[in-house]
Amino acid sequence: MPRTSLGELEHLILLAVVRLGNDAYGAAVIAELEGRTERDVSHAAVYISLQRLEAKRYLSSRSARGTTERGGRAKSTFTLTALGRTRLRESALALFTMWDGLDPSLRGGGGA
Amino acid sequence: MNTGPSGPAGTGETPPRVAQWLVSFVLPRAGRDVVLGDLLERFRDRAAQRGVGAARRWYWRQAVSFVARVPASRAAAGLNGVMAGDTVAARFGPVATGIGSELRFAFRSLRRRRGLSMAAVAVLALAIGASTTVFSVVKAILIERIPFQDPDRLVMIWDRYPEHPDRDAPIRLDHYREWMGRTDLFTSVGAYETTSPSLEYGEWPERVEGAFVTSNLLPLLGARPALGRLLAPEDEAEGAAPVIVLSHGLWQSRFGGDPSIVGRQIRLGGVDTRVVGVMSEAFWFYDPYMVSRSLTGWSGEAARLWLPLRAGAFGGETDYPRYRVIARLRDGVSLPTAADAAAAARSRMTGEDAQEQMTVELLPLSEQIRADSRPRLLGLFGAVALVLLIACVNLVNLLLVHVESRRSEFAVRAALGAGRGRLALQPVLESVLLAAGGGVVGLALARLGTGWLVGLVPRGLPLAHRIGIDVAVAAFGIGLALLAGLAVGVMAALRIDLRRIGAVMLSGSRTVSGSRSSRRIHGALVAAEVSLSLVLFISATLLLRSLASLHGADTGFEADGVLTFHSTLAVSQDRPANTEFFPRLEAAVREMPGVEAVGSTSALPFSLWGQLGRIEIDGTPVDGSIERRVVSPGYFDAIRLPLRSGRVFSESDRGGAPPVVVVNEAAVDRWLGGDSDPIGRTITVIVRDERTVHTVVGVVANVKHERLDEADRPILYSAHRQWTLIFQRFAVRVAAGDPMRLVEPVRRAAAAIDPAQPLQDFISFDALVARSFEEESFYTKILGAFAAAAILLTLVGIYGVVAYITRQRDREVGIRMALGAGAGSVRRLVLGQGLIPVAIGLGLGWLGGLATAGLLRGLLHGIAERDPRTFALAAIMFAIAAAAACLIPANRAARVEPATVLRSE
Repeated sequence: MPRTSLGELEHLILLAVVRLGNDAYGAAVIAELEGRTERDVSHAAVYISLQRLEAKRYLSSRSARGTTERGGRAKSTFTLTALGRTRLRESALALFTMWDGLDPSLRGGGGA
Repeated sequence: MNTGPSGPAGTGETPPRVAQWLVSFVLPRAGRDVVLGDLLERFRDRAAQRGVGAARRWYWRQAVSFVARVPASRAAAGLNGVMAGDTVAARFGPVATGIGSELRFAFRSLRRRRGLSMAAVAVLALAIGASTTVFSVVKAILIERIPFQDPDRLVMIWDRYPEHPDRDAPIRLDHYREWMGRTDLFTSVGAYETTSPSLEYGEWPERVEGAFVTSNLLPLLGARPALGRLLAPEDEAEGAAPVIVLSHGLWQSRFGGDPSIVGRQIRLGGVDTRVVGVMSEAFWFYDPYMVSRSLTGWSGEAARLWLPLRAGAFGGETDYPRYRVIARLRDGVSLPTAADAAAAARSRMTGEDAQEQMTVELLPLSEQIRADSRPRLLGLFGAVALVLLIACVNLVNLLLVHVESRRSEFAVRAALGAGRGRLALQPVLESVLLAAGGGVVGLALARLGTGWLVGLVPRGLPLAHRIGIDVAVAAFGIGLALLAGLAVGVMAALRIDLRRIGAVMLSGSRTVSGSRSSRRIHGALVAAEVSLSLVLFISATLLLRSLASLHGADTGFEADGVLTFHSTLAVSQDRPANTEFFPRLEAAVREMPGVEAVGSTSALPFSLWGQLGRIEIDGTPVDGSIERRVVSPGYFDAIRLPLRSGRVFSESDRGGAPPVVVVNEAAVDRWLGGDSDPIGRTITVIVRDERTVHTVVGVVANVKHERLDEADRPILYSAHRQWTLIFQRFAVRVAAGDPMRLVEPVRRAAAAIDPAQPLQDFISFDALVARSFEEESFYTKILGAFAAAAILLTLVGIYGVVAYITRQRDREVGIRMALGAGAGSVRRLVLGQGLIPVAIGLGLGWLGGLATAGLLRGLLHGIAERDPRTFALAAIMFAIAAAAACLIPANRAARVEPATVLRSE
């Protein structure tokens, strides 16, 4: 049976990929995560999660040519697959369901 | 807010190379470029926002996180996604998945025993840190090519005198020209001569080490200017305008890196000299003689300026051997061929002068630079290899304890169908994981270690400026760690015996008293550790005692509380020597508050200078050259050199007065036949065939001049007013406090007398003396650190093993005590058992010490290489420490409650 829920980091990464649209590559995803969640993210963890998400076919990737600010190194851009979209929706739904009906004071502090 | 993945500022900053290398090391080839690119982008963002330092620290944290996470995930994930591009990995996918689960298991098992894991990582980190530090030195000095263009083809050409076959003798101008003509052997032949002209710039004039070079020498070495040009053939012409090329360091330190310096005139040795260029930063010019002559400290950059070497300089003389010659061998000409041809050519050259049987030596430049440091650095490498070996033995011990204490776990896994291979993989993986951790921490230690080492490097160790951690050094450290981990793991794995595991299952959850063979193995490992670290301990103790004897050696003078400095009068065609400068400066300094005595000498002990001369006693010449010093009357007082009889000089010993000398006691013994009343005897001093009869007016005590362990040597002192030289070194004794506080007042006084005269090399007399055993002190400190690490590792190892074995014997001890054994007899039992392997190890270490003592030859003073007292002292101290390490578990065993232990079964 396929897993229906995602890990927190996986969830966040998929959302970042969606937000970034056509320009979702490693550094951009991390910048997005760091910028929005305001915390330091380990590159290694993101890298491993991206591999895992791709292996699960939630993401697909293609190579793009490198730019000067990355020393001419190649980059890999990610897009959400149909399967990924389904899992993300299921996962979000599970979260929303769990949140539903809870005291609004718990929601403070700025969340999704 | 974050501005996005790329920012305009910070571009061009580069992340730490070693960290970058670590990341690419753990990543599969296919994903590597992408991740490094991502990291680079984020790094530059951070550098722009928070500064380069913060960004570099961030990069290091990321690298560590990659090292910690990726290998396990790679193995476990079964190679999907980007990793699928790895064809080799794909083929071994299933195996890797198996290893992945084992790896996770190993990781968990290590995490459960945090104490043991941390101890193992610390042990390895210490050893890897030390090995990597030493490797960084060996690589910089012995392995990496010397920093010249195509350096393997460069040779130095030296003359050899038959009586000094080992000494590199410079070459005469006419001979240099002949070597230049040998285009069949050499593509280019350049020459240089060291110099230290006075640079009159800024507040004070300063003497700067440099070289006269032929215009082809710098291009021959591959030098390139950073600004302007290098020297050209027309600069060498007679009457050409004086020009100079500055080193990058001198340009930065004295001229603030001002690019408009090129084309400007600066005053050098009283002559206006035009700066035509600044040398590139990377260029390094080495001369062994310059290094030993340079008193102002080792800057990693021997020559700081270059002047054209003119054939017409030095009065156009061609027969004085002063040229140091570097040649590039022609392609296709081997060194032996060139050496044979050169020897033949040299034998034809000797016919024209009196120096017969002179030979020529072609020495590869890299040998010239490295040969002296090689044996000692390799010795250090050997020492650090011992530390690593001890660490590995320790690790085997720790891991065996870990494996043996999990017998029942292995037994269960074996019963559930795990094959021997699978079980044996466990300790290997655990050990490699520990080694990876130890390697990373060890690299961090090596960074600190190289910093510490660079601060200690003795002057005269060439190429030391290159010491540092780069990718190759880091790879060495990590590779060594993994190799050690693998070796240790395999050794531990060999101890897993499936048949015995079956027996464990049958005998219940624990063994009775730890098997005999396991105890034997632990004992053997302890003995090995003890013997290896005793070898290091003995060497370190020998060096330490030798250093102590150097520190305590009687120099014959009092060096504390004395400031010394050197001055060579600035002399040029339009400026005659100001011979009144030295006496006037001495008088001015004497008036300063807090100054007790002041004097000057042509050669202060331990200042690496000296003058030679020839004398006759009663019409008979004294063999060879004798040592002379020209001193002012205050000199003997300033260094508290005791007067034995007669008087020292006075200001009335001047030009017109009768010539007088003072000699030391060794001179009385050697030259004057031990005369009990030498005052009034005469000594004829010969200078260029001119004989002057001097009367001995005083005898002073002997002093050491170059080395604290040298034999007393005869010295002749002349009065400075009767024998004026253009250089003197001053000694200023202060009544109290730090003598270095006088530097500024002395400089001001000198400038008031004659602002053109340079003073240089201000240093306290103590520090000057300490320089003479700088090399010994360097090796002693390093070897001492290694020995300390080795002993610590060994004691931890002894303690760990004895504690483990004792705990296994708790039940036996309980039974013994229940049957009436006292705490004392239990303590003796444990101590005895722990100390037997220690005693065996001490014996072996003693033999090892005897075998390796020869390596210390040349570094030891006042103590024999196989000094029996040192050997005994080291062994006894070690035995006491080992006994203390055994005593802790012995005491614990003695406190065992028989009832508790027996009940727990």
